[in-house]
Amino acid sequence: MAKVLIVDDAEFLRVRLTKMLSTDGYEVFQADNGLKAVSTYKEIRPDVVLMDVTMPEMDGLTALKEIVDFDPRARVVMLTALGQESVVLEAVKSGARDFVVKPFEHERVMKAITKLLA
Amino acid sequence: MNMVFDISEDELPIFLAEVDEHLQVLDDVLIRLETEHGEPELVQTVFRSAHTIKGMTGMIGHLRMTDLTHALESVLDGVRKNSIQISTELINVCLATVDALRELREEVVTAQPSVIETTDLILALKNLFAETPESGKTAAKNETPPTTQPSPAALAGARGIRVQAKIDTHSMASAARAFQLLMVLQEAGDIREMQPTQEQIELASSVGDFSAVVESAWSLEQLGAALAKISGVDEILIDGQLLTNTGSNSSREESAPVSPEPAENLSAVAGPNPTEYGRRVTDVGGRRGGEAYGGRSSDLTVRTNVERLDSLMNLVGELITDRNHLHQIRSRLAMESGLNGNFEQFSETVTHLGRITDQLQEEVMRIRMLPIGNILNKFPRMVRDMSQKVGKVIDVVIHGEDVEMDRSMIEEINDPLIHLIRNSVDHGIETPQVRLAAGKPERGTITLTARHEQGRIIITVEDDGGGIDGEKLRQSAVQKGLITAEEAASLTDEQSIDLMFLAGLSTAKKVTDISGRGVGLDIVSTNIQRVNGSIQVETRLGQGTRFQIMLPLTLAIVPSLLVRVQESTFAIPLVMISETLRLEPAGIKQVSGNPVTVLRGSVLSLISLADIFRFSKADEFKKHLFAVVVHSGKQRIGLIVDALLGEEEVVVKPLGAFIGDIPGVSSAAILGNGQVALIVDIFGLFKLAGI
Repeated sequence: MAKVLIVDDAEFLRVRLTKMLSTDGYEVFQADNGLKAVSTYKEIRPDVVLMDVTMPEMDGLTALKEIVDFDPRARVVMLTALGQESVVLEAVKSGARDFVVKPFEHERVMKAITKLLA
Repeated sequence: MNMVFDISEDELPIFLAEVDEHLQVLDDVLIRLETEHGEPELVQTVFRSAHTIKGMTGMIGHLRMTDLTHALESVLDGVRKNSIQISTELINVCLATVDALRELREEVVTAQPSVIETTDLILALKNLFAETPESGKTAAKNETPPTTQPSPAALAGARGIRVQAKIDTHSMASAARAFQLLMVLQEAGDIREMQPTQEQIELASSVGDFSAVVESAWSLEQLGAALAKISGVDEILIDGQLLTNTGSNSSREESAPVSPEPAENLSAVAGPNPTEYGRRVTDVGGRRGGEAYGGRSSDLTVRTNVERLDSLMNLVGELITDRNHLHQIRSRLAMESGLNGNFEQFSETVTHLGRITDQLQEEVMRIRMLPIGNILNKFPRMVRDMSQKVGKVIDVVIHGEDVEMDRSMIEEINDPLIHLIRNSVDHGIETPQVRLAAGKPERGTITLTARHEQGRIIITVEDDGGGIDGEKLRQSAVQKGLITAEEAASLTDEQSIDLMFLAGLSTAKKVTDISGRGVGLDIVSTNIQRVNGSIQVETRLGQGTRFQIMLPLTLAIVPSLLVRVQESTFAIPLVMISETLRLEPAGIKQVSGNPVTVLRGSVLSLISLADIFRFSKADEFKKHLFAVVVHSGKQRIGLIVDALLGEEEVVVKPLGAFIGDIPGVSSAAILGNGQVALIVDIFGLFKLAGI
């Protein structure tokens, strides 16, 4: 069973994503900021990371860089919002494999994950 | 018309609580931004909160909230990037936006559209950009690009492959998609020609058509598979051949969702298909669901209904009563049957049960605790709004917002605090002119402090305003017939201050819409007494006033001293007690018909609980009595009782509508021995005794 790490400071988003993903049979882990995301990544080595950009403690971009530093094969999908174009570009340059724009639909997230796991 | 949001029953409380949390952060921090002038850390915080609200409301499809927060976020982003200056106007518009967002949040609860109009606010937010000369637009960062130019080394077997792609220009960050294509091609080999150029892509402008020739040893299939992993690309041609599996995978949802997409055809993408996942669900749900949900690294928290906590607290209350009862049975048994093996075992069990009950009570109380910051943090905003109305400039300083209190106590204390703070804004703090003339700083300060002290909570509301004039209070009280002129003359200034807690007394020269219409502080004091707390006031003319509120840790269980008066037992809340004394009948003197005693050189008025509650005179002559010294405000008084029975945590039971209010009694408690004790209402007692 593929492991997915959800990183978002909004509990509501984590709950919703967790529901989506566990319904589809993924094993889900959560972190509510970038710092925890990095340590959780190292601990559980998820197959895919869904990473919010704007978070307290450590933002998603920094966490992405640290995760990719640690594991260049890391599959990180950025969860982003309108107005963050330049961040997305930087994320992709820094090794993000994909990005999904909020508000996202179930299929869009699933597609991003299945594509990466292919 | 009912509004429909994409949110389930179980998600709703999380959503609401989280939105509230971020709205509160916006309220608090926006005000701090105004005084602390754009401290970057604060700007980052408000930006993040606006951003999170935008994301969450977008997910449930609350478009009005999303649009409004987006406009707010843009302004805060402008502040963050220094393209907009912080001004009072900016803070006003942002705070009005927060208010509007609160109203819009209600729509999620009621499913009824609110009357709030957002277009004007969005316009006002956008106009904030216009006021700043520099445009809010930021140039894309032009960082040194990674080495991307074709390396001279030709790869063995490499050949030129032409790759063409159409990127949906309406999608967000089409440049990032182009960049992803570029990355794949770089991995595949050397890029010989590319349109747009890497520099153009990095400017983050929109990219529609992408074409490149890559010198690569990869097979066409290999390259196709790698390119197929990129989302948001409509069409990919490799050497003129359409990559079959991209079309259906392209996504338009990055632009505003237009219509639901048709069922996906994922067959071309190697990987588990949806039905396969679907089947695994049943397999997984029961076994792993919980663990997956909790997540190893996430906060292990559970949200629950407040009513459940209340009923848990009630049960613990019952348990405490039983524990107290068991302790008494044990004492009786020890006397009756002496010590034997059975008794030892029983006694040990009772001790253990008592310890567990204590721990259980502590844990339940801890669950019910909330930081007092939950209410204190609302006050800076309230004070800002009120002081603008009356032309004053007032800062609010908060200490101890982390101090935790029982949630029901927090609710009870909210109104009294609002009243005290309004009082300070309206009557305490002077206008800037008056302050300057008095040689004080132009800005007034209200300081709110919360702290734990000896098992109780102390909250102070302090202002550096004009203080309260004891003489004026006396005059006003006489004028209104609340006290006689003689009584007034006998009061010291310090004693006069407590007159402000009398019903019907208000020294405000005119009625304002802030402090209400002549409602004195008596309401405040009554409310606080009702939760077995007490309030004291200190004032210095010209320097300020300080209200100090003392509260027990919880409403439901009151640590009390049990006393006996003839055949009845009374409970006096420990929070009200200063000390206890042993009285010799000879030590009781009469001053103008009222009993007093001398305590460490000063006179202490005494009242007999038996007299107050009109017990028939006991015949027996008592060799000695006890006095429990209690305080209310500045007043101290000794309550004469027959015996001190000891301390007990009594579980409060309301008297109920049938019995109604009994003057001098706040509520009842069931004791360990099954008896009922009345909990003494000290404030009411003072009134009864005419003090």
